[in-house]
Amino acid sequence: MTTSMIAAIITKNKYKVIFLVAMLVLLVLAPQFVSRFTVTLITLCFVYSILAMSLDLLAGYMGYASLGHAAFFGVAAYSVAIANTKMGYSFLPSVIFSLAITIFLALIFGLLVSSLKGVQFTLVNLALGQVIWGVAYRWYNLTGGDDGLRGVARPEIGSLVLRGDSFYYFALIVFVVSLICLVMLVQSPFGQTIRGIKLSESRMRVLGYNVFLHKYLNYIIAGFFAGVAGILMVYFNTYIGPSSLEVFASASALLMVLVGGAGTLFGPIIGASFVVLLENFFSAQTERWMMIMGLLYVSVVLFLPGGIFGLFKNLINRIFSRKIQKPVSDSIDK
Amino acid sequence: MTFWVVQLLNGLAFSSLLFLLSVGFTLIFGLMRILKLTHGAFFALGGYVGLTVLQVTGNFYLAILAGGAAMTIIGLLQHKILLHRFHGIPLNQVLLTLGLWLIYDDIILVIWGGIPQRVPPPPLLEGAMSVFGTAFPKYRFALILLGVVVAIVVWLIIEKTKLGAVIRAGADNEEIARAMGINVNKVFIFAFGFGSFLAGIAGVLGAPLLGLEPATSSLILPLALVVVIVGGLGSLKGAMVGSLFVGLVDNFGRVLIPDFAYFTLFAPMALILIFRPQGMFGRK
Repeated sequence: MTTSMIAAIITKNKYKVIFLVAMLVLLVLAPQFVSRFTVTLITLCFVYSILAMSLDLLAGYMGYASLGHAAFFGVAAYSVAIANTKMGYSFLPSVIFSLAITIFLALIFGLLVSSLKGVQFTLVNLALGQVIWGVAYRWYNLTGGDDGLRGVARPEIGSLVLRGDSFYYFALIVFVVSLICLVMLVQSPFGQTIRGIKLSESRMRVLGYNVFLHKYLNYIIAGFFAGVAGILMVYFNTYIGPSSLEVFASASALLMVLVGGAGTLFGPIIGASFVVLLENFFSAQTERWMMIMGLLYVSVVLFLPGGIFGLFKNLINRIFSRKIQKPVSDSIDK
Repeated sequence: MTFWVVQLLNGLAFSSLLFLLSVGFTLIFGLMRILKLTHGAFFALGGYVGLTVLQVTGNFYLAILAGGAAMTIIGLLQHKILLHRFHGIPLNQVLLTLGLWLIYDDIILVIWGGIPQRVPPPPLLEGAMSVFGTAFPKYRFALILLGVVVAIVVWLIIEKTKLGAVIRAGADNEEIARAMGINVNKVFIFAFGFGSFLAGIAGVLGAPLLGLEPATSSLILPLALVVVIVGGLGSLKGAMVGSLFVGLVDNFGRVLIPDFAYFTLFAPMALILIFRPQGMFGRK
């Protein structure tokens, strides 16, 4: 992408850019004004926003809902933990090792799922995800089983140890860089092809696109960014356990996408923040938060089929359509 | 030689359980196109209900019936109140049943706690018997027989009875079946209840073999999924062959390379998917 193209995109989306810059300034200044706890919550929102956006590449843009996406998130986190605590690697080698493992996994899984359609895709991803969870849950020597792995060293850049505010800024940078990469990706011809596949796979095939290859590459890219989120998460918590790989972890990522609104990058960010805040709130209030999250899933399906984003869109449409569309329909009646 | 015979029989016993579990899943999907992801939770919940009945009455057979009956009722309620609204919208079915799964798992935690439970087999089937000169647990042998009987009964119902013809008609072309005056909804409800019943009794029957723990639902569902993925979604024959396949592969995997217990499932599934993405007996 050339600079002139970027300039063109910016002038086309002037208000969006102003809004995003304002948000960024707010996020940069946030640690000065809000409590320690809020800073950690926002950090978590960054982590899960990256995960949700990566899943949205599949679920929203391509129309393929995966129920095994947490596999990449969890495997990346486990790889860092194993590299760091068992093999003694420092920050950068651990990250490189982890990303290599994640990409390798995505290469294999992608090969298996990229020719599948609809429900088959969802189910096979679910099964693959559960297999990975089963390995983490049962392979005690490597993964610590149910106890997980503790004591991952905080990341270090030079002599700076990232913790507290500095980790917040680190996460913010990773989030912003990921967001920029993903925006560029979905705007690119590749992204357009992915959207085309969502609309009609057979038409894309007739037009001469290699549908399998696009689905495969998109799957790998989505896996890669889920891995980035997983790496951030394990450095943030300094702990990883099998619960991060459960089907519910994948489901909660899907929930984030759907609650926020699929097929946009902004939607998953809202959805992820919403789910993270809710989860934190309920797990602090009651031991029965699992049940409450279950009820949340059920109520989202029952009452919010288009997500929060969809709700707002509907509301806005309803308000404006009265003003705009009425005269038009009147004129038709006459 | 003895080792292989015993492991083969162990694998077959496990196949029987998997068949009981996955036949409902595949029937419900084949007929109604509903992804009932609570199926693993039904297995676990049925097992726990059976455990309580066993502790109260001391009767294993009553426990089996209670587990099955409880899951039939819960399954029918689940379908009547929630699932039927989302006919033909898989993503909503998935989220809905996942939410219910979370709720069922939490109910298990509230009522039965987080400690793994052992369940004894019924007294009549305790101990071992001699098979080809080697000792083999009676209970597992009974499971194999039961699996074969259920498989034959289900096959007869589907292939040889009027109900089966109606079921097949409903699965093949719902609209035409409706137009012919067949009450498809009734058939659907029967299938949903029957599938839930089988999941419930599989949970009770599996408890002496696998024990019960809060993770049971998550541990068993992937096996059922692999069965239907390998066999082909919605295919009865697929569920039979898939169960045999997964039961044996998983058992030998566990015995020969225990650290990779789940991995041994993954490799054959991968191979089959590469050559037949729709499963062995799945329709495109």
